[in-house]
Amino acid sequence: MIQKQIKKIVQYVLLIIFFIISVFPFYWMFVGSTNHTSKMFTNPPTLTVGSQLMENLTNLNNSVGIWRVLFNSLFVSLTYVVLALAVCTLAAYALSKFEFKGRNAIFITFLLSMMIPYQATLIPLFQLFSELGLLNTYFALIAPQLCYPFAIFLMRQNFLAFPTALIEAARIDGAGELKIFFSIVLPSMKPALAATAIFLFMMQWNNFMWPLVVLSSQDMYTFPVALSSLIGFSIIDYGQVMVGISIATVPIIIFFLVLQKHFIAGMLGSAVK
Amino acid sequence: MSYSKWTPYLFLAPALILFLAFTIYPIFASFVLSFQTLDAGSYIFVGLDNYIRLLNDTVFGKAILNTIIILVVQVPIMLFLALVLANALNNQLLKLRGFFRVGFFLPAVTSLVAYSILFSIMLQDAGIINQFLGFFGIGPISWLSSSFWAKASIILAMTWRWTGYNMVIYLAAMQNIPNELYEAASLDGAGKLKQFLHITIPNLKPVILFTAIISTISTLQLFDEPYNLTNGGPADATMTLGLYIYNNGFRYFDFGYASAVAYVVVIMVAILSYFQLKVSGDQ
Amino acid sequence: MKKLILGISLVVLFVAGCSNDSTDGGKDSSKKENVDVTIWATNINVPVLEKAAELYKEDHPEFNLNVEEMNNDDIRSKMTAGLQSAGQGLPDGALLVDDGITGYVTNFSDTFANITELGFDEHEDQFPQYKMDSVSYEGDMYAIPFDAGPVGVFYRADLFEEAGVNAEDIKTWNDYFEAGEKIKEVTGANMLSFDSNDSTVYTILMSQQGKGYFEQDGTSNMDSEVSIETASVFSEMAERDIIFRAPGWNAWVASLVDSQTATAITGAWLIGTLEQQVPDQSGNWAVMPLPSFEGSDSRSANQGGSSFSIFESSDNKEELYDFLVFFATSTEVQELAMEGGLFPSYLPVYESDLFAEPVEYFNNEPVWEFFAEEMTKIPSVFYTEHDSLGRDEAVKVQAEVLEGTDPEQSVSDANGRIENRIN
Repeated sequence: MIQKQIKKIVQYVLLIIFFIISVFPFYWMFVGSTNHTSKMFTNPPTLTVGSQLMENLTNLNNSVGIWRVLFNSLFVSLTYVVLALAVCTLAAYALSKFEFKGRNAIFITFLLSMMIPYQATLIPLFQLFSELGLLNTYFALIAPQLCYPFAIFLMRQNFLAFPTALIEAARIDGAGELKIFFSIVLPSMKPALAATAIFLFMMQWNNFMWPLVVLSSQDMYTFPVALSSLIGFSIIDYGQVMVGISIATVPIIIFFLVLQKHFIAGMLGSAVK
Repeated sequence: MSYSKWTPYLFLAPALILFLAFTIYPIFASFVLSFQTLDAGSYIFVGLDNYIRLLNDTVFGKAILNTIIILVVQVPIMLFLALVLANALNNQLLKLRGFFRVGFFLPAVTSLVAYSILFSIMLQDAGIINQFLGFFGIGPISWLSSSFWAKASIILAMTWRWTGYNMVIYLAAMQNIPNELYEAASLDGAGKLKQFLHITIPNLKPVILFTAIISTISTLQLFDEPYNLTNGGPADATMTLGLYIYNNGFRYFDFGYASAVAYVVVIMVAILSYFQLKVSGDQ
Repeated sequence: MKKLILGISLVVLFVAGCSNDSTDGGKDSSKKENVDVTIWATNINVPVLEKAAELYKEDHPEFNLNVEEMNNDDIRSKMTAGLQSAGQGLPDGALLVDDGITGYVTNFSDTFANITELGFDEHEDQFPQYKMDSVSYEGDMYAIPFDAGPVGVFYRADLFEEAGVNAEDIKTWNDYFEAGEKIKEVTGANMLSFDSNDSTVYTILMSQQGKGYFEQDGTSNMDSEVSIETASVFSEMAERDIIFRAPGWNAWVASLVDSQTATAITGAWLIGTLEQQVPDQSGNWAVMPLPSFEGSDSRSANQGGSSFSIFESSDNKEELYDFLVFFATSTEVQELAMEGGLFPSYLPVYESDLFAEPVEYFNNEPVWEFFAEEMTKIPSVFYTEHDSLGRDEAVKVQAEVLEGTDPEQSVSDANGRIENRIN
C-alpha cells in the first residue's frame, strides 16, 4: 500500500515538473507583457508581474492596430477550418468507403505531396496568385491549403474504423449518398473532426511565411506577420511584442479547450464498434 | 454496391481541384525550376547542373547528416515521451487531468516570434537553464555555441514544442481502445506496465506509425528551430535541409538550386516512409 | 436545411471577405490629381517618413504616402518573392539595407529605377563617397542614400577604470587584446561580446581594411590577407579567453545588459539600443575608434545603413523620386531622423547643433560629433550579388577559429565552399 502511495506521488511530481517546463515560457511571456522592455534581459530574469500592461497594449495598438489583426486572424482561421474540414472530410470519406479506379494512386499522391518542403514551392505559388490578381486577399490566405493531405489522412483513418455494413444497410433502405454521409457517418466522427479542426486551426493561426509574402497592406495582416513587423533593426519594444504574443495565444487556447471535450470524452469510439 | 460510379469522384472533386491548382502546379513548377538557373533576371535551362553541383557541396552533405542525426535521436525520444504522458493522463483516477492536458499541449501553440526570443535568452551561457543546472553542480553548458550542444538544444527545443501535440493524438486514439481489454488483463494479474506494453502499444500501432511518419517528414523539412536559435551554426553544425533550401532561395536568389535540394529531400522522405511502412507491417 | 443555410451563408461571407481589400489603390496614372505611393520600411523609420510626408505635402498637396512597416528579414523575403515574379506585389519603393541592394540590382536590374538617370548627380557632393559607392552598380546609383552606420568601439568606461585601462592608449588590436586581459582579470567581464549567428564584426574588420567579401569582378576575398587578419583577431581573442559568443541578437543584447562584456563593436545605431534597452547603465558607456591593424592607420568602418530604392513598375516613379530627394536632402527631415535614433549620411546636416550636443547616456560626451567625424574617413567598400554567401561563410569562420581551427585553414575552406557555389 505504501509502495503504491509512493508511486503515486512520484507520478504527480514528474507530471508537475513536465507541466512547469511546458508552461514556464508562457508565464515569462506574460510577465514580459506587463513590464518595460528593458526588463526583458535582466539577469536573474524578471519573473514578477509589472504594471506596464496597459501602456504596452496602447503602444502595440498604435503600431499594428491589434483589433484589426485579431479580426483578420480569426476570420481567416475560422473560415479556413470550416472549409478545409468540408473539403478534406468529403475526400477522406471517398478514399475510405468507396471502391473506384485510381483510389490508391490519388491517396499516395496526396501523401507524397506532403514531403515537398514548402520553401521550394512558395515562389511558384506566389507567381500563380499574382497572375490571378489575387495577392493581398483573404482568398489567397485561405485557398492554397484547403486540400490538406494531413487532414485527409487523419479523417480517413477514422472513417476506416466505421462499419461499412451500416452504410450498406442505409443504401438498401434507399437513402441518398449525401444523406448517408451527413446523417449516419458524420455524427459519429465528432472526436475526429474536433481533433482535425484543432490541427487545422493551429496551422493556419501560426502560418507565417505564406501570409508574409502574399500580404502587402497592413490592414490585412494576421498575427504572425504583424508581430514580426515589430522586430526592428536596432530597437525592439519587447513589452509590445510580448503583449501581442499573449493576445495571439488566447484564442488558440480557447479553441483547444472548447474542442478537446469532444475528442477526449471517452466512450465514443467504442459506441460505434 | 449500389452507388453510381461517379459518386466517389464527386466527393473527391473539391479536394482534387484545389490540390491540382495549389499543390501539384507549384510542385511541378519547382521541379522544372530545379533544372534551371537564374541568369540576369531570367531563368535558363541548365540540365542536371544543379544536381551535379550538389554532389560537391559539403554544406549540403552536412545538412543531410545533421538532419539524420536529429531525426534518429529526436523522433523516438519525443514519441516515447508522448506515449508515456498520454498513458498517464488516460488514467481516469488521475486528478487535474484537464489541467495537465492543456499545459502539455501549450508549447505546440507557441508563436515563432516568442519562441525565438524566449529560447535564445533562456539558452544563453548565463541564462536561466544554466543557472538552474548550477544548483546541481552541472555546467555551465554552451547550449548554442558548441556544435554538440547546439544540436542537443535543437532536439530539446523540438521535443519541448511537439511532445504535447503528439500526446493529444495518442490520447484521442486511446479512447478507442475498449476498456474490457484492460479489465480482462487486470483480472489475469497483469500490472500497469504489462498492460501498457501488451495492450496500449499494440492497439495504438497505426497511430504511432502515423505520428512517426509525420514527425519524419517535418524533421526532414526542419526550419523553425535552426533559423530562430542558431542560424545553422556554429559552423553548419545545425544546418538542416529546410534551412539550406531557404538560404539558397531567399538569400542567394538561387531557386533553381534550392528546388534541386528540395527534390533530393523528397526522394529521401519517400524512401524512409517506405521503410517505416515495411518495418511496421501493413498500414 | 439548417446546415444548408449555414453553408450558404458561410460561402457568402467567404466571398464577401475575399473581395474586400483586393484592389490596389493609386494605379490611376493618367491624371495624377492624387499621387498615392507605398513604401516598405522598418519600424524606426516609419515616424520620420510620415513626418517628412507631412512637410512635403505643404507644397505638394496631391502627394499621399503610405508606409508599410516590416522588419528587414521580412522585407527581404517579400522582395525576393516579388522580384522572382517580375515585380508583382512590389510597392512603389522600399528602404533597403545597403549591403543587399547590389545583389538585387545585379540579378534584377530591370526592376530598379536608375537613380543617376533620374538626375541624382547634382546631389553627389552632399553624401560621402563610400555611401554612394555602396549603392552603385556598374557606375550608376540604384538607391537614394539615407542613414549610415559609422562604426565605433562602444566601451564600458566604468569597467575600464576599474581595471586601470585608459581607452586612449588603445591604438592597435594588440593594445586592445592586452587591455582585454587586464579587464578580464580584474572585473571578470570579457573584452568583446559579439553576435555569433551574424557576421557583423567580421564584416566591420574587413571593411576597416577597405575590403568587402568580393571584388567587383566577382573574385572572392574570403582567403585574402585581409580576411586572414580578420580571422586572426578572433582566434587571438579566443586564445586569451577574452571573447564572448552570444548566439543571436537577443542573446547579444542580454550580454550587454548583464555586464558580460566591456566593449561592443557596431555602428552608431547602438546608441538607440542602449538608451532603450539598458537604461540602468546610463553614464557608464563611452565610444572610441576601432584599433588599427598593423601597417595601416585606418580606424574607421561602416556597418549597416540603408537607402531608398524605387521600382520601375511604379506608376509614380518621378513623384516618389522627387519626394525622396526632398527627404534625403532636407536638413529638417534629417534632424528628425536623428532624433529618432538614425544616423544620417547627408553631409550638410553634420553642421547642425544637434551633433555638438552632449548626450546624457554617454556621460554627456558629444558622441554624435565623434561619429560625424568618422563619416569622412570611412573606406569605400563595394557590395556584390554574392555578399550574403560571403557573410554566411564568415559566420562559419568565426565559429571555427574560436574552436581552435587555424585562421588560414578556416578561411581557405570557406573560400573553397564559395568557389563551389558561385562557379
